[in-house]
Amino acid sequence: MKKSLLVIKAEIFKQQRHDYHSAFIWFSLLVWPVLGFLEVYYSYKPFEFTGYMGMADGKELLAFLGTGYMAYTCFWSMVQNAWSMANQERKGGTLEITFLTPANRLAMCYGKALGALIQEVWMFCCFCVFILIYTGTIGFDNLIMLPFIFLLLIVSSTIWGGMLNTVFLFSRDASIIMDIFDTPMVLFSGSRIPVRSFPQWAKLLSLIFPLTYCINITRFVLNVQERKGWIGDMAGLAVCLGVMIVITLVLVRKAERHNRETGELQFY
Amino acid sequence: MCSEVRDGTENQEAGKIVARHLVKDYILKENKGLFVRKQKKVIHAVKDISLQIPRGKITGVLGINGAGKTTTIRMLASVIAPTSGSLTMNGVDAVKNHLWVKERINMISGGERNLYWRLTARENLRYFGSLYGLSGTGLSEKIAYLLKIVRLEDAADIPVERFSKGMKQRLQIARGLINDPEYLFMDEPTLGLDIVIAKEIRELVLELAKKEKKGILLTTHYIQEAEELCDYIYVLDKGEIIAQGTKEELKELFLYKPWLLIQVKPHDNQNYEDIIRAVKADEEIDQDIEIVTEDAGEKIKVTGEANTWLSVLNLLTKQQIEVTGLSIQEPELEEVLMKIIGNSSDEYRSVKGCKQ
Repeated sequence: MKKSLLVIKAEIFKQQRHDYHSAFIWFSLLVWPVLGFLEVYYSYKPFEFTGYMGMADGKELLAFLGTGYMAYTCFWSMVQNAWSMANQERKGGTLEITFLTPANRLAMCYGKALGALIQEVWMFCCFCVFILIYTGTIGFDNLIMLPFIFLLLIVSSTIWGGMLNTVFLFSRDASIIMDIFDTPMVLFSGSRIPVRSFPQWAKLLSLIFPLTYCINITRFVLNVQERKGWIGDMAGLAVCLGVMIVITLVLVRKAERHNRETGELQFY
Repeated sequence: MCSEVRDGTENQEAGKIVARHLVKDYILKENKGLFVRKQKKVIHAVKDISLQIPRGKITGVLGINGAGKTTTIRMLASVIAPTSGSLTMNGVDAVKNHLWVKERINMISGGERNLYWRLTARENLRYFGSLYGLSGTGLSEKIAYLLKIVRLEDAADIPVERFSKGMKQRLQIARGLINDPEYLFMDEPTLGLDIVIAKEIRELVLELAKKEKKGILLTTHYIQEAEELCDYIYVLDKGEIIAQGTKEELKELFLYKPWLLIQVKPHDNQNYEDIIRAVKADEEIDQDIEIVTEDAGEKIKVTGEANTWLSVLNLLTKQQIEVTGLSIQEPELEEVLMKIIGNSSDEYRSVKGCKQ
C-alpha cells in the first residue's frame, strides 16, 4: 500500500513538472473552460424568461450550468489527459520503461489521472465556486457541502480517468475514445440540459455515464434543481464506479499480457 | 514465491540468468488495403536462443541489424514474454514471476528516449526511484551518489532537454542503476556518442561488472567495444546463435591466429619472391608464407604455429637476408565476426562447452 501511494505521489509530481510548468499553461487552463462556459451560458440566456428547462431566471441558469460544467470539466480533463499522456509517454519511450519497473500498474494509472485532475481543473473549479457563491447557490448554510462535492468529483473522475488510461495501454490509436465519449457525455449526462427533459431512450442512455450521477448529486446537495432524493443517484454512482474499477483491473492485466506478447508499448 | 526463490538460490543456477531455447514469434497483420481483410503472418524474430548471463561478467550479444539482438534483450529483461523456451533468474522462473524479476534488473538503451525531458536529472531519478518503492533520505542519497558516479552533479537541477547526447546517456545509466539491479541490460549504450564519452561509459560498465558484480548483457554495433568489454560473446544472425565463446575462442574457432610480419631488406640481385621461394624450399618449414603490402612497403607474412616462426627467422639469417623489422599481428574481432556471419548460412559452429 505504501509503495502504491508512493507511485501515485510520483505520478502527480511528474505530471505537474512535465505538463504544467509555466504560468501561461495555468492561465490557459482557466481561460478555455471559462470561455466554453460563457459560450454555453450565452447560448441559453435568451431563453431565461421563457422558463425554459425550468429555470426561473439568469442566476438559476448560471447555477445550473456552473454545477454541470464544473463536473463535466473534471471528467473531460481525464479523457484529454489519457490521450495526451499516452501519446507523450509512447513517443518518449517512457511508457515501456515504467512497465519495466515492478510498480503497481493500477496505482500508475490512477496516479496519472489524479495528477492531471488536480492540475487541470482546480482553477476552473475556483471560478465555478465563485459563480455559485455569486448566484447564492453556495451560502453559509451549505458551504460545508463543498468538500463533499469536491471529494465526490475527485474520486469519480479519478476512477473514470484510471479506466481511460488503461484503455490507452492497449493501443496508440485509442484516441477514438475522445470522440466516442465527449459529445454523448456532454449531451446525455445533463451538464447543459436537464436529463428529465430527455426522451425515455436518452434517459436510459444517461445512466451509463457516472458524470450523470455526479451532476445530479451536486445539484441536489446545492439545491440547484428540485429533486426527490439522492440515494438513487448515490447507488447508481456506486455501481458505475464499481463496474469501472473492475473493468480497470481486468484491462490492466490484459494490457500487460497483451504488451508482453506483442511488445507494442514501444510503438508510437 | 519465497520457497521458489530459496530453492533457486540453492541450485546451480544461482547468480545467473539462464535462457534455454527461447523463441519469439510475432504475428504481423499485413495491411493490403482499407476494405481488404488483413492477412496474418508469423515473424520468427528469435528462433532458438540459449544463453547465460552470470553476475560479475559482461556478456556480449553481437549481430548485424535484424539479427534479433533487441528482441532477445527485451525478452531477457522481461519486457516481452517468449513464445516458448524457459528463462530463469537465480533459479526462479522469470516468465511467470516477471514482476519479481523487474525488481532485480534494469535496462539501458542507447539514444535519447526513455527520459522525461522537461524534468531535471534529479526529478527523473526521483520519479523512477519512487516506482521501485524508494523514498525519503535513502532515495535522496542514492540520487546524489548516482549523479556523482555519472558525473552529472553540476547538472542535477537542469531540465534534461538542455542536456547533450552524452549527458542524457549518462543519466540513462543512472536511471538504470536506481534500483541497484543485480543484472543490467544495455542495448547499444554508446550509440552515437563521441569517443571520449563512449570511453567514459565503457569504463563505467566495466566497473559495474567487476567491482559491483553486476551481470551485464551488452549489445553493440561497435566490435571494438565488445572486444574491450565482453567476457563472453554470443553472435546472432537471423534469430539464432551462430557462434559463441570468449573473444579468443571465437578467433581460434575461425582459425584466426596471430601471424608474424617480417620486414626484410633483399640483396641487390634478390627480390621478395626469391626469399619466399628459398624459405618454402626448406623442408623443415611448413608455414604458409605470403607477401603482404602495407603502408611501410612489402613484408613477409608468416602464419601457422607461433613456436615454429623461429625456424623462418633462422633460415633468413642463414641466407644472410637482413631483417629490418618484426611484428606480431592479431586479427580484429570484426574480421572474425564478418567471417562468422558470412559463413552462418553454410554451417553452425560453436565452441564446445560453455566456459562461463
